[in-house]
Amino acid sequence: MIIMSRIHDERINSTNLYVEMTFGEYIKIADKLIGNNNLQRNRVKTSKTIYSLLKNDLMRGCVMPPIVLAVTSKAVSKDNTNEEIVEYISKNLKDVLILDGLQRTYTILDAAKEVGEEKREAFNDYKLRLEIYIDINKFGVLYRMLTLNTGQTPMSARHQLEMLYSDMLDTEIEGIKLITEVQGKADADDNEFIFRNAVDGFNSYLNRDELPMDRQELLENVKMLENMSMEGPEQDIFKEFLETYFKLFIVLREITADKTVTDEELIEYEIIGSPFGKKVSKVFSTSQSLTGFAAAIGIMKDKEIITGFDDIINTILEIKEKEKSDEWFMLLLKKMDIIRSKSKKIGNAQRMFFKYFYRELLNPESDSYQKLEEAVENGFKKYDSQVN
Amino acid sequence: MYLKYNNDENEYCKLNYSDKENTFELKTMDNTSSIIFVPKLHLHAEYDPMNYEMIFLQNDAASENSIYPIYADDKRIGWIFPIQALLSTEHERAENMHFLKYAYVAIYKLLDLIEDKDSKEQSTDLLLTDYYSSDKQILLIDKDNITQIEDFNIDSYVLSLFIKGYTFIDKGHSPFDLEIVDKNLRIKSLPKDLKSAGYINILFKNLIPIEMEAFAKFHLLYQVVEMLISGVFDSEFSKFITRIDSEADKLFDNKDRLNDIINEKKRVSMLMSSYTRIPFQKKERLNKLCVDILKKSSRTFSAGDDEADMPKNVYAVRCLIVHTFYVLDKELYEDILNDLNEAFLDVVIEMVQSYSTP
Repeated sequence: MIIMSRIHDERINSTNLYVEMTFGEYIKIADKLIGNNNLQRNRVKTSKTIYSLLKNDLMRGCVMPPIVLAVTSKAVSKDNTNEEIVEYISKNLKDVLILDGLQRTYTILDAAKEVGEEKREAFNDYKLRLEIYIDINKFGVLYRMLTLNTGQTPMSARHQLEMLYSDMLDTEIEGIKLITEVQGKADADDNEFIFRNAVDGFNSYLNRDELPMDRQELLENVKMLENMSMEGPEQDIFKEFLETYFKLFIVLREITADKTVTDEELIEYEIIGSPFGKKVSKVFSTSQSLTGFAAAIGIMKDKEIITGFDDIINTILEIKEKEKSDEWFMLLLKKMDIIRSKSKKIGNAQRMFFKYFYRELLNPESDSYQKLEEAVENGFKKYDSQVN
Repeated sequence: MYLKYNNDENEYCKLNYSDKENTFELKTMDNTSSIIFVPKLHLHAEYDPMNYEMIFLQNDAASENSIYPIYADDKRIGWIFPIQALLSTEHERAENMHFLKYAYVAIYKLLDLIEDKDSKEQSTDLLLTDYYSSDKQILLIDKDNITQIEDFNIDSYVLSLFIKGYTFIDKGHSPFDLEIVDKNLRIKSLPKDLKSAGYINILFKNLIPIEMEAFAKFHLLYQVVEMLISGVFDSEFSKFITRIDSEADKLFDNKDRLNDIINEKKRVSMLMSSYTRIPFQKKERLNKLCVDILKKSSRTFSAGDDEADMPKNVYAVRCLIVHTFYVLDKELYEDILNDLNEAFLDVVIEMVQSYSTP
């Protein structure tokens, strides 16, 4: 591995290394790199013609476009020498992600298996170009990948987000831990959130839209890119978003004293089906709540009602001082019950309701500002007026 | 199934399900390429999709939660649910094992039915909504279960489904809400005296649900009356023949009876009094609207006329529309005729459901 040059990417405030290595060197590290991309789901298996052509060409020493990697740790920066960086990467592959070129990596490995012994030495000596980002601002790299996509197999922004922020798994923010679904069910009572739900929320913030994108083509989401371009590259917006939301989550739990709704209360409030959740921790750790919150904040920011997440944090602290009862939670469950029984698409309807609930609760210009019960009622009225 | 994207030369024509992974795999014939479809629900692949018939319906009033076992004449024949129910884990049946068995069959059949060449570009995910609207309703019928019903034919249940809000055509609409008792959908076949009246099914399947001008709708609804009074004729005429066989010397006395049988107005009266049962409120509502429209057309009711004679007034409206359509002011009549059609539809349905030969 030789670092040929460095360029500082001013837009994303990160250092881009232009690297050459041999096929042989890359193959040695490729399996490990693929393993680091554990959040990628392989929906599309190899398209026979495109990748088989590439495989054959690789066996004949073709030059591919650069594979793009990123070093997720801050242990190396532009202040390190080339040798230090190469050594760090060689010994810490767990910190290296493939940002672009996963399918090409698979193809190189396939080619390596098929190349005959007599050609193996020559094959291993063929050269490969890479770009490696160090000193990453993740948000900026995501932005770069979306605007300058050269990927052959399109990856949705959501997958990109999951990959970029995968190092936040098993870490704690405001006492909340993010875990993957495969690790088992997240226990919201233990302050565990499903990572994917957090990513859904952030995606909604970027898109200013609480609805899930079934399929988000990279280059089609112009609005999202415009929103992203307004954010400063030095901020880790995802972290700020989560910190703010988790503060609210904790406050809402405190307000209801973490109580579990009883069957008698469900009957009293005429909640017919099984409730959306019996505790605040369950309800507010869902994707629906996260995306509704995120969309509400994004829209308020666009309308310059708030300047950023800091405004929300102050509001949350004031809610905590003012709100003492848990009646609002029963009302919210009642509204969710109505939504479930009547909606054509329950999940989307729930998200929309949460968006209006948070807008009522967190918008200083609303009548329900900092008032939970009123925010539930007025948020539902607004939701209902949109769907009926 | 056949699926080929316009930016890929692969032709996917084989479908498999992996219970372990809970995924469907669409493969090329030589198995070199595949597409994975991951359902949101955790399916139970117990049933063989070949044992089920799938029928597409519409229902504007149905929600994502409108997922029901369906009983035909009190025998369970399958399940009915929107495609949206297959795409979401938020509804009440998302963990119901019985539903999940049917969900597996439905998804399998939906994927298997895909026949698409070059109309789409391959992207990251295969979605059912690329090929089907999530609003569409699926009626999945268990072929074994329906053998318990003599001569089962879903067409016999068209009217019953229509009353629950379900229609068979894409642009069709039923004015009825989905009313469910005991979390099951219960439908009834046509009365046995109408089982052979196939045209009633065609009307309710293909024509009545379509939005159309009020005058055309009235004609369609009256077609049901025409069919029913033809049944009245057959029945009454048979009785007449039997009677004169045994009362050959009273032919002259029975002549008036024959006139009544032939007379359409009289048969309409017989239909609505002896052959069917119509709830009083529905009779009243229809009658009032008939009288309104007749008065609007300058028809006067003399002392001998009975304004409350609903069959007679329905017939009079029919004559008004058939014979003097060309002079009627359409705008003037459109609103009232729309209301009348609503009431008429209610009465027609009551007649069909309660029809029996006395």
